[in-house]
Amino acid sequence: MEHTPEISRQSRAIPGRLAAACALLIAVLTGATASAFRPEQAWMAFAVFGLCAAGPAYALGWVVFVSPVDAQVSRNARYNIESHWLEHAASRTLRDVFVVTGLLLFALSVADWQVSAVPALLAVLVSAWIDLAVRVAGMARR
Amino acid sequence: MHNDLPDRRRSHGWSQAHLAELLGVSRQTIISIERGRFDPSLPLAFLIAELFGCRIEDIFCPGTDSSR
Repeated sequence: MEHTPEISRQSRAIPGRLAAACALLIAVLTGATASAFRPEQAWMAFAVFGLCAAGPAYALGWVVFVSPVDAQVSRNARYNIESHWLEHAASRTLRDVFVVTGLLLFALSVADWQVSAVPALLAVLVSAWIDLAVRVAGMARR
Repeated sequence: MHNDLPDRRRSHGWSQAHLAELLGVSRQTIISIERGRFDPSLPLAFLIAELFGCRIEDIFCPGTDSSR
């Protein structure tokens, strides 16, 4: 069925608003939860955690509400070279994470160093993301 | 893997984008297969062969491993 541009624009606006509402709701909930655990700096915690959660929450809202309506995916997208790049890069990133965390754990055990969990997990997550992004970009450029 | 996909595609008067649309894959996938940088999966190879009305081995023949 053919849609006029006006109707099409409206039908796209609704999922966009739902995604924004989803982002706002998750950001407020995250901020409120964080501030509940930090009563001495409640507003600061609310603002920082709310702002940090807003971006990923909007991405989640986009995936849930906008992409089923607006994103065009090839019929056989699973056979695309882009899927191949991502799978290949992900498997190598997982191997890198195993090797690096294993070696670091060994070094920390030998030296009897204590590392707090939050920065350690953050380092693993960020380095894995960077590793994956660099690998995918490298394969795409070849 | 060597292939004669560019010749077959041109003989049909199809662009890479049109072939990609017919197969339901991205244009980058077609570009990479034609340049020998990507060996298609078996299901995709069957789709390509079916589209051109021939067997897989008529289009693809063993060569150096190019998929990375």
